[in-house]
Amino acid sequence: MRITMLRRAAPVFAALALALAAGAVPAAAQGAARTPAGPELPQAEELLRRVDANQAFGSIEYSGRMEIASGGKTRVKTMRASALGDAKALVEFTNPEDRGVRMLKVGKELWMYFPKENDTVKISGHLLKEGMMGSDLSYEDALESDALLEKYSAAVLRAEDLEGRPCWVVELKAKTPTANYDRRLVWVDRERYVGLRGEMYARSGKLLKTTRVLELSRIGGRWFPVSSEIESALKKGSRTIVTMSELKLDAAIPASRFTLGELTK
Amino acid sequence: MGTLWKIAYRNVWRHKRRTAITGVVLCVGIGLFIMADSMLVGMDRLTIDNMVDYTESFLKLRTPEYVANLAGTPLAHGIPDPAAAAKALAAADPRISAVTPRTRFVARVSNYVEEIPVVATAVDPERDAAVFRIAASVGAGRWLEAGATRSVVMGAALASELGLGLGDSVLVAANTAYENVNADEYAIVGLLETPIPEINQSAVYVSYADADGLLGIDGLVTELCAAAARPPTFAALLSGSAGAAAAAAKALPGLEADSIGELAQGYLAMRQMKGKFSQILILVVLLIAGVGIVNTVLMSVYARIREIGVLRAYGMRPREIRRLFTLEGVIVGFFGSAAGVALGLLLVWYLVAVGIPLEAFLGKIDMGGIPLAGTMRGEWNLGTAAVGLVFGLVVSFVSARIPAKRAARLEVTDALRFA
Repeated sequence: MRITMLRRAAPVFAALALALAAGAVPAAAQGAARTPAGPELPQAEELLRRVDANQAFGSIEYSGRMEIASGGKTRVKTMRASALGDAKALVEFTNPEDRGVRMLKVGKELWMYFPKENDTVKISGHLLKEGMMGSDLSYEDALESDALLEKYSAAVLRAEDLEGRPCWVVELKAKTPTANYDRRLVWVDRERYVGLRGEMYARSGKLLKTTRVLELSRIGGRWFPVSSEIESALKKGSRTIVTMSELKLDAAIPASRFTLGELTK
Repeated sequence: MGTLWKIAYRNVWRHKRRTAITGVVLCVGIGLFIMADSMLVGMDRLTIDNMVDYTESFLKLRTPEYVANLAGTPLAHGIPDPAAAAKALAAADPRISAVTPRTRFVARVSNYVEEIPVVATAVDPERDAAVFRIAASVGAGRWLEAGATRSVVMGAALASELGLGLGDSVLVAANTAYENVNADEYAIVGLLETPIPEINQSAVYVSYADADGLLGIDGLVTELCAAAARPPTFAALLSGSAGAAAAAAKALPGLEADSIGELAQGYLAMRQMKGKFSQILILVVLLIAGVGIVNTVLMSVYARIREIGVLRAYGMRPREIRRLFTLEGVIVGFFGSAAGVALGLLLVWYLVAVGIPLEAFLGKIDMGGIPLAGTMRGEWNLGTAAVGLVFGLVVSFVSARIPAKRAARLEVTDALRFA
């Protein structure tokens, strides 16, 4: 069975960071095993299916806040975001410097609208590797969807406590050199089935980024990450904290909101 | 006429101070004109020479697809069978003396605190040194060695900006051939101090072995760069490179061979625009010289109006007086112009043989991306010397003729009373 739900929890910004922490869903899963002196390791597929169930939604609306710390300075960006599954998302920045700047994601394409210049730019090529609005989250991270998940194979490595929470450590290994990261480690809360921490590694084995869930909220009987931190391992002191508030899941959002016409309105 | 020549010649030497002033004005004006022309060509030559020696080479061979996507510095569209292509390129034209492969890529270098975007270059250390002068510009440390991996050579100013020095580790992050990010640490084995500020401030060189590890390019070569012996003149460089590129294109169909003229297209287009400015500059130099000449000749004629009256009283006809003064002007013009040409050629000789170290005169200034740095040498242009000589003669003739004509028309009594 191929799991695709987990990545639906990725409406461009905040949920994306949380999804990064949760890790990507592999197409193949490892069978059950047992650590030398610990509990029986679950099947990676089953584990990730349960994580996915926690974060799946038909639609999402929230107010977001992004704190970007870099070079000893901290900038704050606020936004209103809405998304339909993981395919369509619209973000409008509301902080004074970027007020009115909008981003539209439709499938694997991303556009930005700048109201002062009345200009729409499609983000492509090398720009996709750049940090989104100066954050530690790349545009490419925002575009990653479940099609990419076919590029990783998963295995539950061990049971481990993380900040007092019992976790399973899941390893995702790139099956293809085109995967965004060569290797990922995800710490999944054994009781709440939420990815609490993620580590992304380069081909050289160098740690590139870490993600950490800072706050979970119980919404409709499930645990949902509402605040997380993305930290660059290549630049000391460079981190982005993404927080969601006024969160609404599965509210009715018209599909017409996610069009280029709406982006420039 | 012979008598007039003798009188004119004697008059020229009789009024030594006046003759000297006129001659010096002519000499300096024409000398500066010849030197300015040599310097302007020399600036172009230095810029293009720096491009050939440090960034572009004599000619480049790339795939048309790579050239079409050049702005993105893609790790794709490499040259098929680069070893065979390099051999064919070396044999395509006798002017080509060496060929080296290069692969440029966008990277970010960091000390884990500061991160600076750079355009890095994967090179074959030994072959690159035969085409470019980068290896010879290592100020501290050494150039890359094919066998010694996990090492980089970078601009000294770039390392300094990151607070790094020789032997330190630098973090290099780049997008791989598979469009994902890879990063690793490399030892800084050499610091570059080239005449090109852009290289010193933002260039990183790695061996192909390291580039393969970082980028997963598996020997991808995006450009083959060729070297040639330095042609004597700027024009010979452009035409030689164009000829060699045409021969390379013929020998390697399907690949694009670009001459230095095409590689430096942007600069040469700007040069064309600058050419008009240069012409205006030279015209201004000539005008200043011309005004000086006219002024001194006019003064010499007007100061001698009473002398003209005496000559008329002795029976000399107006036409003879006009000729006498014109001859005097032409004699001074000839000697002044000849001295000016001699001075100009001397200055050009100095520019060609010694040159002007721009950094000593201008300091380390940003030329807005134009690689105009190092020692600027002039170029010989005998045509300009001939133009200077003719100009001096014509201006002297015209400026002596007009007042002489007027003076010759004066009545004898008026000329004698002229004060």
